[in-house]
Amino acid sequence: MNTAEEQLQLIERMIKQSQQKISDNGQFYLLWGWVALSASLIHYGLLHFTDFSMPYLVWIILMPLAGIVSSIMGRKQSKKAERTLYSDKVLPYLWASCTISMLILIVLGYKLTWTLVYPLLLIIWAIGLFSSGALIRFKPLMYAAALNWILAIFAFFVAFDVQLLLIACSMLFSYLVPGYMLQAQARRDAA
Amino acid sequence: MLPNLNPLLHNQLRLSIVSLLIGLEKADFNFLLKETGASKGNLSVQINKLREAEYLTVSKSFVNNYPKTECALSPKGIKAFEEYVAGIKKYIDPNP
Repeated sequence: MNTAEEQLQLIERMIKQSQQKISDNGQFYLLWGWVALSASLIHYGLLHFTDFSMPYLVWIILMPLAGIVSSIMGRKQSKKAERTLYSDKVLPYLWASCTISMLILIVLGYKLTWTLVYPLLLIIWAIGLFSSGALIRFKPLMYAAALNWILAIFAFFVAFDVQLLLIACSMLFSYLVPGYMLQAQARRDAA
Repeated sequence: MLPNLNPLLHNQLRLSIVSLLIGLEKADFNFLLKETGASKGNLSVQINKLREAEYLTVSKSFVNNYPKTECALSPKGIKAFEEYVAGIKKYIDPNP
């Protein structure tokens, strides 16, 4: 068969085909986005409109739940996947490292002042978003990271309850918007 | 036909399989079937040949009661592919 040029073209075409589609369908961004958006708004509501003494409980209840759902979803997805890119292997480790860092900050946050914790959380999220965007070659996640860094800078200068609204804003634009964009793209690719 | 090139990779379908896998951690049989456009029988014969040469590893499992076959390139397969590419480049430009 065929000449060297044809063989090389075949190789190039196949490599392109294998890399073409983004394998992320956005489900993790949507899950975490909705959970954290709800938690921050409920926290804000409890703080302002009720006398409830432990409004932060909403995070302690919702976040571990999301963690469990997220790990079940991850396991299902990796079983179903038709192909695994190298980045698919790296991403869970990246987000696990972000989650561990955030947990340390949240648990030991009382050693700092609480108004420092949320801006630092936003910065850690930005690291996860920026690196994920680069790994799966999806620019909106990188813009989302930039927005998180800007929100983090703002957050250093405002009161705790306003920080909750900044977190909600981050969830809406940094997680839910790219999450729905990824979902739409995954549906187009599957069609 | 180009002489002195690894005959195992100098086959359209086998070269396609290896080229698809080179950029991936692993891929399942249906993905390779879709992307190569080959028939099931032919694809599984060629995968077997590559497996016998230890160019790729094949793992079988069950997902929701359906069998799932996954292929991944071995270090030996990656090396063979790199040598093959270097070989055909020499044909295109003998004096780089």
